[in-house]
Amino acid sequence: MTSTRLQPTEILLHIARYLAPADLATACRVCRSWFIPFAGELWRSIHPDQWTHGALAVALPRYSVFIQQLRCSRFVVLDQLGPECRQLNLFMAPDITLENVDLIKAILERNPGLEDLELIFEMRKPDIAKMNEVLEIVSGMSRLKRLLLDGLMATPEWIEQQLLGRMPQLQALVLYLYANTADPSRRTLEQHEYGQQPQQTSPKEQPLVMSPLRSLSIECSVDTLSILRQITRLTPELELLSLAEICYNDQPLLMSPELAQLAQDLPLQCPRLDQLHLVHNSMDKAGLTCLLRSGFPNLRVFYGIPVTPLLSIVLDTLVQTPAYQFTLEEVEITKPLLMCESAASSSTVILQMLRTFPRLRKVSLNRCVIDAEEMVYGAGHGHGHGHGHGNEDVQDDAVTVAVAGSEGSSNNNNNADIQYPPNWVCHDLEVLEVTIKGPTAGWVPRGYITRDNYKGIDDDSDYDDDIGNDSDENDDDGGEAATSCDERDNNHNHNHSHDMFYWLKAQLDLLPKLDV
Amino acid sequence: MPIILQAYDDKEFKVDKQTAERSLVLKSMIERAGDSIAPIPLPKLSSLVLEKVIMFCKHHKADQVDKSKDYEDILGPRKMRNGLIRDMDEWDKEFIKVDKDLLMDIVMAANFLDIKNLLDIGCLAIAYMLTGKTPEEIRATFGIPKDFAPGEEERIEQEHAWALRP
Repeated sequence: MTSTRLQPTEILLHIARYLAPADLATACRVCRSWFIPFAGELWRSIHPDQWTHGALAVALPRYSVFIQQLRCSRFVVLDQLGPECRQLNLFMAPDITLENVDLIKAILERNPGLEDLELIFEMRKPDIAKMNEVLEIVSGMSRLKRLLLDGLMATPEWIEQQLLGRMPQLQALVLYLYANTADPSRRTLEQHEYGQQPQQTSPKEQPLVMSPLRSLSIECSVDTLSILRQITRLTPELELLSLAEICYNDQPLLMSPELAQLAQDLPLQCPRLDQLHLVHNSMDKAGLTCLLRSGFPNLRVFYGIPVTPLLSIVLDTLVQTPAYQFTLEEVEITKPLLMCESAASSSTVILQMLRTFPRLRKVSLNRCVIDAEEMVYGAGHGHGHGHGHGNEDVQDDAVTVAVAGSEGSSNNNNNADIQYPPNWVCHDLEVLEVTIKGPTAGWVPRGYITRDNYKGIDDDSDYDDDIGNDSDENDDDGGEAATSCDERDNNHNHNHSHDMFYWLKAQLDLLPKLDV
Repeated sequence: MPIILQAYDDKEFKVDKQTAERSLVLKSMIERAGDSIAPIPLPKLSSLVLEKVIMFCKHHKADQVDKSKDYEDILGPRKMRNGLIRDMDEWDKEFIKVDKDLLMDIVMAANFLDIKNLLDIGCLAIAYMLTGKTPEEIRATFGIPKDFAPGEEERIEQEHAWALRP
């Protein structure tokens, strides 16, 4: 009976992986041979939500050799990071002073093998020369796989040559770009875009170095299109494009010849591009349609927070692009609460999507509404929105399918017959987040589901996590699926038949559930 | 052809090849020896432990997907914890309900024989036993002597106050 019972140390390391931070902190106090495995695991990955007070900063120097992933919000004493450190995210860097810049530079220089780096420059009065010193070190980090630079001031050429050109492993790039107006000696993006200075060497004359970049996220205060054009020439592996605009600097992404050209080139230069994240405040319908239809002929995942192109326009565009019927798997649109667009008219188009898009796995439209009557009685009922996609022949039959793809060994749903609501063709649907609205205020039996007890279920954070797991990682969870439906109840009328509610509930209950 | 495994008290167990191959150590021995494999002595394992290990391998011998890939890289540590707890099926949960001495022996055997799934659930079970306990309680449970220099434990405690539950 000694501490050698759980030997070799690998076993302790393995156990440590299953413990929460508080238990790791306890376990490392048990005995000497337990100290390194458990303290090491605790310090391996430091997240900002873990540290509650200055104790962390005091203890950090002694433990910094364990750190592999550090996400912290202030510079503390970081100059002893060990060789294992692969990830360093420095949030909210204070204004760069001489001392800070040297510290950042020292940290970065000591860790040239970083694979994941976030640097957020928050500078009121940007000191370009100092920023460049840091960026020069960053651009030499050839092992970087993911890089986030916020508050960056750089030209497209710099991005192309110093970032993409010198980082053969870089797979994800997130840039928040600002125009550099402080230093006239440095050519700004605007000058580049509008050709006020003739370029001495055209990029086309230089050999293009292709980048394995798979994910590109750009938030830009200057001309997004020209930067996109520059970068996407070099990224044949690109799969995800995320576009956002900086809210205080109005750069509408309206229909323009440049946008049309970009959209036309995208599928040629980035043939694997199939995911679009759009967080854009001002886009017109023509611009959106053009970007989607020309630029994303194989759209698989759409995530958006649209405000100016109304929700219904986005949905309409998605549904009315015939090619998407066989490619679209995930649609998620969230809306800022303040912008109150009536989403009631979205029912027809959502149901049409569920009826005609067979590959959908996730439909999350948290401000949208499905009309229960329309869902029950089918497409012909109610709103006479013209839509005939050749699926009318199956309208009256409930679709019965076996759940396919049960790779997960702990899967209870193997070979179970699942009956989907009539006409839904999306048999792989895992997440459905849409409000379902009945025909009258009292369509839900009184006391059956109140908003409050429903919320209790829905707010469980584990539940959200698991939805995330299922959509990111399909080889593990096979046929499991989640359905979350928000059912609205106004609790007024009770002498009403609840047949429709029970029918709907039965239909939704048949959808596979996550066994959390 | 059955494989014969000998525990340290000379008790022999016959298992089929598929069962034995859940252990990567045995698998490579079987591959090297071919058809003419002699009984394999396992002097570190008591027959009680070996019996449990064989029971596990037999139950899981038909598992198609080896879940031994590193979840941590995919999900990150916190998600991995949730994920594996959910993945543990009822049979495994029942199987691993044993006293702590046998549990530790099983874990060491799984590590020695390289049976990843068994190591996973064994370590998870031990992790459950550690959860919420004080260092003193852990030492008592596992019979571990306190070997820190005076003041050392207190120092470590202070250094990790930030991580403790409020």
